[in-house]
Amino acid sequence: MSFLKIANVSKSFASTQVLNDINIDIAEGEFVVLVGPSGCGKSTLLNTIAGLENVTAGQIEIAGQDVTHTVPADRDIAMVFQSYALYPNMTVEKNITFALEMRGMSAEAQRKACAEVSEVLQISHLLKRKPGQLSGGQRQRVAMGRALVRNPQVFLFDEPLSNLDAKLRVDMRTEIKQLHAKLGTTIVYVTHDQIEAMTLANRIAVMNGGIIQQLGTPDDIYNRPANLFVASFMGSPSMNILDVTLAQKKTGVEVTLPNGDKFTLADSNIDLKSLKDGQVKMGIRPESIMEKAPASSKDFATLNQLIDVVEPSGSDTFVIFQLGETTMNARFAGDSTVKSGEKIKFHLDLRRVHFFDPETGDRL
Amino acid sequence: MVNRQIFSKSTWQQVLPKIVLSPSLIVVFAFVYGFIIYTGYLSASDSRMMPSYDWVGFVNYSKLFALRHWKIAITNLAVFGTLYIGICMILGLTLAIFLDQKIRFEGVIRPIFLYPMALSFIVTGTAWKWFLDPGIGLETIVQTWGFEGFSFRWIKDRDMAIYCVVIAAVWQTSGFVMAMFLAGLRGIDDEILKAARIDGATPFKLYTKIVIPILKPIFLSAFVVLAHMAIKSYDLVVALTNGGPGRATELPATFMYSYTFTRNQMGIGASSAIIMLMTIAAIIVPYLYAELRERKSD
Amino acid sequence: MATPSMTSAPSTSAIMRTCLYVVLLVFCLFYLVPLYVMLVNSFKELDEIRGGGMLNLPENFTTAPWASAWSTAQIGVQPTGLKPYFLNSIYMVVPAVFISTMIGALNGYVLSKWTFAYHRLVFGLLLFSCFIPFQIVLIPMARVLGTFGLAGSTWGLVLVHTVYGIGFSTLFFRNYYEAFPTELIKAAQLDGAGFFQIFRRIMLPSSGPIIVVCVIWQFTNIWNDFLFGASFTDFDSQPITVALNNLVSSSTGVKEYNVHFAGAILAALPTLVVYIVSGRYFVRGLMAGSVKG
Repeated sequence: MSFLKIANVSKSFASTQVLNDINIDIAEGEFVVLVGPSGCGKSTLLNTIAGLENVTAGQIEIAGQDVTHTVPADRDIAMVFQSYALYPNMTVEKNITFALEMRGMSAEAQRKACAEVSEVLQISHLLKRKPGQLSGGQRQRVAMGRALVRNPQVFLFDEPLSNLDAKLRVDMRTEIKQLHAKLGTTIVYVTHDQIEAMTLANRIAVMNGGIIQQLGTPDDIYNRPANLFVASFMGSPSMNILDVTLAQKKTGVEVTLPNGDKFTLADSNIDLKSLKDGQVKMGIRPESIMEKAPASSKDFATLNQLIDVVEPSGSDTFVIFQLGETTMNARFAGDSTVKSGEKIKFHLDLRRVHFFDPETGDRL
Repeated sequence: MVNRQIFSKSTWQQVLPKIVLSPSLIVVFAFVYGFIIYTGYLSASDSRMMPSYDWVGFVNYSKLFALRHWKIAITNLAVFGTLYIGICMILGLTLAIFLDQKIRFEGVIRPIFLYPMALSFIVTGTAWKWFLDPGIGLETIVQTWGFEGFSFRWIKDRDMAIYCVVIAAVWQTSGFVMAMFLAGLRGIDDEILKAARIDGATPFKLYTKIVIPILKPIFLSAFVVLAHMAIKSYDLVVALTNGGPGRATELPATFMYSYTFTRNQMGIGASSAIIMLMTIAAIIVPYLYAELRERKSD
Repeated sequence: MATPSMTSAPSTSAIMRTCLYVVLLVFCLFYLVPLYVMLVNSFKELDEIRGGGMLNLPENFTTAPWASAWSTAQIGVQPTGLKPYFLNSIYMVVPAVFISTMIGALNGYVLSKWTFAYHRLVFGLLLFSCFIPFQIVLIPMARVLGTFGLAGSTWGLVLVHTVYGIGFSTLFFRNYYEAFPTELIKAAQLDGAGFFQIFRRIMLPSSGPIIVVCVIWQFTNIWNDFLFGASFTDFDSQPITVALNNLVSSSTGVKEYNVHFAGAILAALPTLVVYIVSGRYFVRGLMAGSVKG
């Protein structure tokens, strides 16, 4: 039973279609992340859930109520903004209790609610300050406090961590996850950061061009991308995409790489029989190209290639090489000793290759 | 039932802003655009002392441009406008550049340059009227210093009086133009200037090749402001010379007023007002259009 | 070496710098002389001014011209001094500034945060009304004021100045609120605040500087207005600018220069005081009102 239901939602400004027939059913307590490049419509979708923007067509339901035409204040949602949107003229306490005051709550009850929330977020000592006197991280907490105090049906987060520095961002990410585990409130969270999406979400909706490209668990999205866009958007460095030729053989499917190398795919998580002969796009993630082949080498294809560039990053070593026209990226272990200019053996993990239709980009 | 209530609340919130704005819009449409149309109509009527609605076409305009009085007014405007705008810009830019050289007393000098802008043109006119008056003002002062032959009676001279209007007007507004340029100078990215310095630009080259080209938008703004002030100039002339000696310092604005209210030639007065409006619109409308569009791209 | 910046031209010699200061000093004198002339001569007896030496300090210091200008000088037909007209100006300027600022704040709020189709065109049309030559509205305005029985009254002038002040006050507030984060409005909407609550609780408390700018601008403009004052008032309701002009340009009797100067300073005093007290905001208003058309 869906708690937050987005049905056939479309939105256009003048002649541009920003959202195109969006359908998402979110269960109570679920943490859904909307991710995509800038301009993909994810923030607009969040705004339509909040009621800050009207939909052109479609319907939005929260807890069984049709709220499509309800004003934001009456949707029983709370939102954390990228800029935090703290009222500059009010103290932290007033910022947190403003919504309660607007709903006519007594001063005593407001104070109590504020005390509870600021306890949880460890901002009790900041209540008398103005937002201008707070650090970025503190403002972020106050913004969360303002949302929490309402105890809403749904939390909406609009890139809440993107204004924080790298270390704080990781800490806050963990805290948000803990908070969700504790409160169990439904969350819709917008980000352009795929790591945030992967770590936080129960389900991820990858958006591009106003369309949901794929809606699924982080595992689905990463390991079974529905199309080329999702495949190359999620993962860093992104998946290597090659033009290959397929041919059905008795032993399996023969794959011809851009440089002319061939290997045969016999055993895979893909239904090999269904693949047709001809040109397709093949995707393989950098970590599926290895320096050392494990014992059973039938699952690996070996390539002899010259290394162009080596980029050590500490935990990993990224190795860049050419395969025909395509620049390939491989992720080796951090202690790898390969040098640029060396010719080495690359081992492709054949169990982890993906094929996509060259025309539609859809997964085969 | 619940839904309908919520719906109406939502519509109310959407209509409310328009309701708040609409009185202003109605008033401005009536009192500005309605009045412009009304005056436009009068300019094509045979109104004299009182408005009349008998249509006479462009007769008033042809009469207007045949009047010697009007020719004096627009010639004066051309002379006054050119000198006023030109001198204000040159003086404003020069003073701004001078003040931008780490001047010790900048905090004192800047307000002195700018305070005339806070005064009424009537006050400015009064001060300059007597200061330039040959009987008691500048001429007498210099003579008492020992230069017996010194003569300065422009304000009484038909050919020179318009330059007195220029002097007083420049006195009042040049400080403001200076402030505009100074703000522009202060807004220039320091790194650009450092780069130019490293590239070997001399101070003179720095200004002519880099700084002044960067200030181009300010020249435009200053021009628009000064031009529209020149065309609207009325109070200063009234207080300083009252259009005289004779009609030597009449401007379109004083012309309009006297034809409409004292000479009972309302039709001609209205047509002169329309000409003034069209002149200003030709300058302001493209400027506003560009300014408002620019922000659209943000 | 000091931090290099454009303001420290390295090759400027001492002579050049001296010239710079001399030029600036000369212009300081140019800007100050009229004020100085008005001031010193307003404390002189008339004979002393007639005898030349306008730049000299008063020999016989007297405040009589000030008393005369304030309460006994002949304005038009009555020897009332400028006092009643000074009060007229105050009665006119206070409500007109208050109302036009309030309306401008609301308009600016709508035009920046509750935009609708063609809001830019609407704003442009409002803005254009600041720049029209007001000669164009004199005839119809006189008729409208007559129709409503407001001709020759201070309230008529209040109406006129409010109407033609809306453009600038809207401009000030719109541009100020434009830079105000829209997310704050969204957050307040989610918190349950309505149109007016957001305005009163979120926007207005942060509008201090622009209110000052707008009030100063409107005050200066309306106080200094002459055209409307001369066109729409009778002897009893004239603002001070019109009265001053009548005082100075009256062709009857002797020209009392000292009284004229004292009167001119009286007329200039309120705006000068505002300028001296809050020059920073005055300049900001000038900039906002002209650079960003």
